Amino acid sequence: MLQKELNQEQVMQLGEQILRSMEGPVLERGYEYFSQGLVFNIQVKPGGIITSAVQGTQVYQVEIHMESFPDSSCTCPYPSYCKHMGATFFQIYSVFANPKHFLQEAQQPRTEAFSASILYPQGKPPAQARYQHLPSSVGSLTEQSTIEDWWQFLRNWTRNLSTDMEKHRLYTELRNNYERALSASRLWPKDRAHLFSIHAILHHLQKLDEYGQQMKIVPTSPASQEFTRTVNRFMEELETALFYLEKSNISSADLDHTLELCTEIGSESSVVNWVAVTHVLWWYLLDDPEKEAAVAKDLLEKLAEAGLSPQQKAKLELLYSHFAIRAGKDELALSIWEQQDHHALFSFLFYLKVIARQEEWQRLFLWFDRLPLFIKQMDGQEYRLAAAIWRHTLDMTGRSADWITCLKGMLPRSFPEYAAYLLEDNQLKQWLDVHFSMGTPYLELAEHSKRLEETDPHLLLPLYVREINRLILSRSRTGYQEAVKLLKKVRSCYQKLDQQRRWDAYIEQLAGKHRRLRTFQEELRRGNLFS
Amino acid sequence: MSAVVQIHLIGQMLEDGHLHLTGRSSERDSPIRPDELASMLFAWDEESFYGSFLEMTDEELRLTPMEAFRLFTAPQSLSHIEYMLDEQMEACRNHAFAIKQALASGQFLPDLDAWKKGVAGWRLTGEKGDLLPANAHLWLTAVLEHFTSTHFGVSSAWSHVQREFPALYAIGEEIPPLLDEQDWLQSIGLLPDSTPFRTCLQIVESTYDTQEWHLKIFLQDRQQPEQLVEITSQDSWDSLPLPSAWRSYKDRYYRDVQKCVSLIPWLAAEDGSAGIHIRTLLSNEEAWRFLTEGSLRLVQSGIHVFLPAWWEQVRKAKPTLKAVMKSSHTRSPHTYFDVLHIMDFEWKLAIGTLELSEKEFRSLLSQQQKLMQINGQWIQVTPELVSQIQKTLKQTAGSGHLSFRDVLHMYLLPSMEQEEHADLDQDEEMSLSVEVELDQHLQHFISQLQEITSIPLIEQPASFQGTLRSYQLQGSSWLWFLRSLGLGACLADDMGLGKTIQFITYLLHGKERANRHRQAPSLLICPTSVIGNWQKELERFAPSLHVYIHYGNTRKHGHEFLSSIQEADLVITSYALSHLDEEELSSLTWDTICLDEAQHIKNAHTKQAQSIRRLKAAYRIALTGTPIENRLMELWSIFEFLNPGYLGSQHEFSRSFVEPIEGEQKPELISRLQRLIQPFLLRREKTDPAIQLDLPEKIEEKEYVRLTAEQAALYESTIQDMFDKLSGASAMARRGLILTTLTRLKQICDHPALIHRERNAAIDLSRSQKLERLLELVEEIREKGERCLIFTQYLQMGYLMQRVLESAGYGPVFFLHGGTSKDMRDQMIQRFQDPSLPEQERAGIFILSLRAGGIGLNLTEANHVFHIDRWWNPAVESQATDRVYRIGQQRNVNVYKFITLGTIEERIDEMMERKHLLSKKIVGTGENWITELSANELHELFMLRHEWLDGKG
Repeated sequence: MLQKELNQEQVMQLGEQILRSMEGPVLERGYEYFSQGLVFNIQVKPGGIITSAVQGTQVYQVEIHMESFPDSSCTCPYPSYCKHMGATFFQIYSVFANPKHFLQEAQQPRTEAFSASILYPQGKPPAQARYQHLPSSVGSLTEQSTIEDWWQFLRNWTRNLSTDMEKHRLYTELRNNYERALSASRLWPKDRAHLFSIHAILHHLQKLDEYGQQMKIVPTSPASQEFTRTVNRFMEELETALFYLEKSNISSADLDHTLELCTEIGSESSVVNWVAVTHVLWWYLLDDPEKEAAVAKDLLEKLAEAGLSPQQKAKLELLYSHFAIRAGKDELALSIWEQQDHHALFSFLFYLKVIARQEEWQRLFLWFDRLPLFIKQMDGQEYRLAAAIWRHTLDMTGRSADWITCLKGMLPRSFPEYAAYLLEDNQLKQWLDVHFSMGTPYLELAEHSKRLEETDPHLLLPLYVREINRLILSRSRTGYQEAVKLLKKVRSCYQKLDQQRRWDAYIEQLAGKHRRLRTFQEELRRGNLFS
Repeated sequence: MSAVVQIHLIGQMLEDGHLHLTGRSSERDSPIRPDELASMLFAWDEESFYGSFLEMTDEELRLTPMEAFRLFTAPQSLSHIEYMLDEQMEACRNHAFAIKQALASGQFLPDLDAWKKGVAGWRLTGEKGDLLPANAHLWLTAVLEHFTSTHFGVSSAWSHVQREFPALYAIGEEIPPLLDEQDWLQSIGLLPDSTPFRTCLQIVESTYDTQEWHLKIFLQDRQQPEQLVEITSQDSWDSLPLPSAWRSYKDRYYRDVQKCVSLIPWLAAEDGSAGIHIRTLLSNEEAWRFLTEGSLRLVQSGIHVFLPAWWEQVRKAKPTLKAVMKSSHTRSPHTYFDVLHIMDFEWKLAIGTLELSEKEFRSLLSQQQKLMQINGQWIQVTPELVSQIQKTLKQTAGSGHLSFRDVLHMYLLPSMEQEEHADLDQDEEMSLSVEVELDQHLQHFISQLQEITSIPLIEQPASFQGTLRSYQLQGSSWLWFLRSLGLGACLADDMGLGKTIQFITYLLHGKERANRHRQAPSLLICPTSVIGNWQKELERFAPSLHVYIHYGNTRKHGHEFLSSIQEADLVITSYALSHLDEEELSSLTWDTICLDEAQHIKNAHTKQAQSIRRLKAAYRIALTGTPIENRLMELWSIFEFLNPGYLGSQHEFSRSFVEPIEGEQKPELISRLQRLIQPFLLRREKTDPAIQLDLPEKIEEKEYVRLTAEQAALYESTIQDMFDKLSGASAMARRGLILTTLTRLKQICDHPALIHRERNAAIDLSRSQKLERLLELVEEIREKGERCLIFTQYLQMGYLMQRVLESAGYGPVFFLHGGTSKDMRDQMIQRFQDPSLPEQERAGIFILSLRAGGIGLNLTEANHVFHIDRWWNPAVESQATDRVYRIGQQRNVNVYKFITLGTIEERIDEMMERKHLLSKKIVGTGENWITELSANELHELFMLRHEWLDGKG
């Protein structure tokens, strides 16, 4: 069925998206679900959407968007791309290729190679809006309409948006609605239309925020995931729009007006991070020293006011961190963010990128000292971005050799690269140590046994002995038989190391320890290891 | 964070310094299994083999003080795990660091309180010592103990210190309870002793009187030890010719003398010299007490003692009792003796280089002196020695006579080993080691018995038709050699190596040597099923032998019997008749009685076995392919026939070998038994390179099948049934019930029809995968034109298979079972083996009941063997297989063993794999042990493992 409804190219392309968005461990769990046959009722819907039901702690409904994987969803509470999606993907993939191979690829360390482009917004510069028919009821705008007019228009325009979002998919609705709104500025000069699109984004973010509050979305809600992703994509859109805006062609009054909006629209919301929105706007639009000083002063005054609630104080401090960065007081900004938990992550990454764009490498060392704190909150992509910048920073400052220490500092997140690096660098004891700590299965490590033997044969012993202990614990004949095979390797290891007596001591103690396991004893005798 | 995982360690330090540890994963907040914990904390620790052998329970890891100390001071843990210590662990770590530091800076001392309690304990000095809790001090002790016992440098330094300050040897009650630490530390050399001399005692034997000893006191210069000043009882301190520097130490000297007296009160001087001197004259008895215990106590308290130079040697001399064969008893090579033959010996007691005759040492004992000088040599005759000698003499029948059996036992099991096993029995520790000194002649015989290649080879008898392989001639020679010593022999070669031929050769050799003198006939007792075979082989290889078959309804009785065998060289009869016709068979003394398949008399209590043992014969031989196929008692039974009394009474044998070997699995006892029987047992295996056989390869395969739903249901209900009845059953009923169930289960595995007693049920292959698989394999075999044997334990299964195979077009199919007549049997075997017959008159398939067809038959035309069901005993199966896999086989032999997965058969198979090894080590178990299992163990054994059920049903 799937074979007819989908083609290989589509599925491979989906695989590539998944490799970018999903983490190895989650995919591993997904693979387990898939191989246990927990994916049911898989269907191909129009528009490249695949739905399925996955049996987890309960049955979850999964929707995979082939063309745009980030739009995919699942009804489980996991805040990001989940194992259920992974399981569904493997089910699809298995029709066309070996899913085990895919999993292996996903488990490889994925390092983002540094290129300057990762520091910049990933969206495309705004193009001329397509013509859309606008219903007359919303009113119309002209080139000369003021920003107030724009907002009036947008409010009318999005009157029924909540209902639509409820009925249909959140992002798709919001996005369509936004794109259609842009046709109001279709015939305007490019820069003015551009500014209008920024306001449209802000307005839609606000609508999304309202809707979220109306739905009582909190981080633990099932739908929170979808909200978060929608917000992130609009934030990306916003930064892209700001990045390509020709500010010199915008009147200073309009700029001021736009900046003022920041203070107007922000609410105490758990859906949209308004501080982050403000930071982005300030970074791109607020560069007049006088105005900047005024805003900063205003913030400090507010902070000095008595009777602020801790939340108000925190928000003001967060906002102020922009000026700390601008003034080169990174230490201050970082310590503000550190106290603010996940609210500050966006800002951390945002300013990290902009400082990297300015190639102020020395300045970044301070940032990386604090990195471990933020790493816990980062998703895979964010982590890879931060790691890539850090590595590049080291390269640019002639400290490439420190990279291993940095990787170690970022554990457990950096585990795959760290382990790969150790292996490459022939630090085999450390390499084994980290794998042992992580509980990596023996077979994966055994692939490198030749290498261990050549470099440091002593290291084979703990590797084998560990696995032997595990196999014996399995309390099964096949386990014992495998253990006996490894015991023979241990024996030859000791022989090669000229430590026959150690072997004697070992096998004697082992047989003694497990003297009650008759089957094991039997296998030992059969292997002529002990009588 | 530079770790991938974080774990919390919760520790508890015990009174005895052990550290009990548990771990919790921070991430999952769940406990970590102790073995995992060990593999994290000791991941790189070679000492414990990477944490494999640390002590642990299901809940916690239990570290010894040394292990705990290493954990903190030289961790071999995984470095990518972050360990969070709880308060106790934190404290432990601080203790460990404190100890490590103190060790490095030498701030530690022996702990007198501990030494007084009998522990060589240590403590940290000063404030640190006060801060460290008592159990942490145990760590220090453990560390020091570890170093003094494993580190060579430390160890030799420590023993040097001990030699220098013998007071260190005193521990526990040996330390005077009132001794204060200052004195003690001085005596062990830790605090300097400024006294310029040492007080020393010397004990000297009197030159005139062996009953008198002198005790002297000397002062020895510490700097120049050779400078000694003797103090006599007449002296006073001030009149002594002492260096002036010593004078002021008068108090010290008096204290030392006081010390001697307080340690050994009877040393107090009786005359007026008290204070300055002690007793100067000791009796023999007192001298012995002084030498054995008093001197040691003095030395440990810092008083030096000079002992006679010979004392150490005398003290260590280990007396041995020697049984020396009287030299008058040289025998001619043709003197026969049985194992109970009494031999003349005399006892000698050897101490050091002295050798005393029995008379001498008895008179010595009567003197009741502990120290004695004989021929100028001192010996000590302790009360222990006296009781040891008496005990040993009593044990070994004392009277100066030993049986040949005793001699062999003593010779084959040197007393060295008795000492090794002394811990088994406290009493044994007390008995002396006994050596036996054989005369040359006997020595020679016994060494020949132990090495077959040293036995003189006989020549192949001229009347033998054919050629013997060299190992066969060696076997016959061995039989003959044992005959010349009058000893019974057990030839236990592997099946197919030609035991029959070796016995025939033995007979022929005897006949030829006897020349024309009439020898008494020999008697061969064998299972009915192989009488024909013997007949054939005798005809073929030794036509000159007169063979008389005593068998069948027309057999002769009484006088007629005697006259019929008049001319016979060999009489053949069956085991059954050996009992029924005991009267006839015991009416003469046979030259040799030979038991073929001697395992038939495995049960020594049966009338058959008893009758056979009563038969009279000059010589005895047993032939068997599996000498001890099931039980050690069987070995005893065969040996009781061969060499009565050699392995002791049945009860003795059971107590000293069977129970410990089967019950406690003591391998060392197996080797002792092996050494005992080795001279009388010759066993060679096909795989033995010395045999140089050209047998084709044998390929064994296990054919695993599964139960059908019908079988599984039957199986389950049978077990259920048994457990239902088991609870109320008496011991006897319980045994019966279990054995019946065992049979039923095995039958169900074969085919459900066996249980339903459906004699002529429609043949439905789908009811048993065994049948299905059999048919598939047979098809392959027959297509190649090859032949097979099929063994089963169940008559019905045999009939069923015969029917199935014949109806599938593989007829004729032969079936040989216990009820087959001899004639029919011979016919079938002959036809099966005769390649010249047309195919429709031969059979391609031969079904045999395992018991009826397991022995004595030669069916080498087949090269495939099926075992449809499993027998507990691997030996029975390999015997059956050997019908095919023997000399004469030209092709590879394939063996297929059917095993039903998940059932008792699979477990039998597991046990057989194990037992195969056991049987090679001369040990085996019967089926009866199953009846002794607990309900749980039974359940474990019988229970159906569901993962193997056939999904189809």
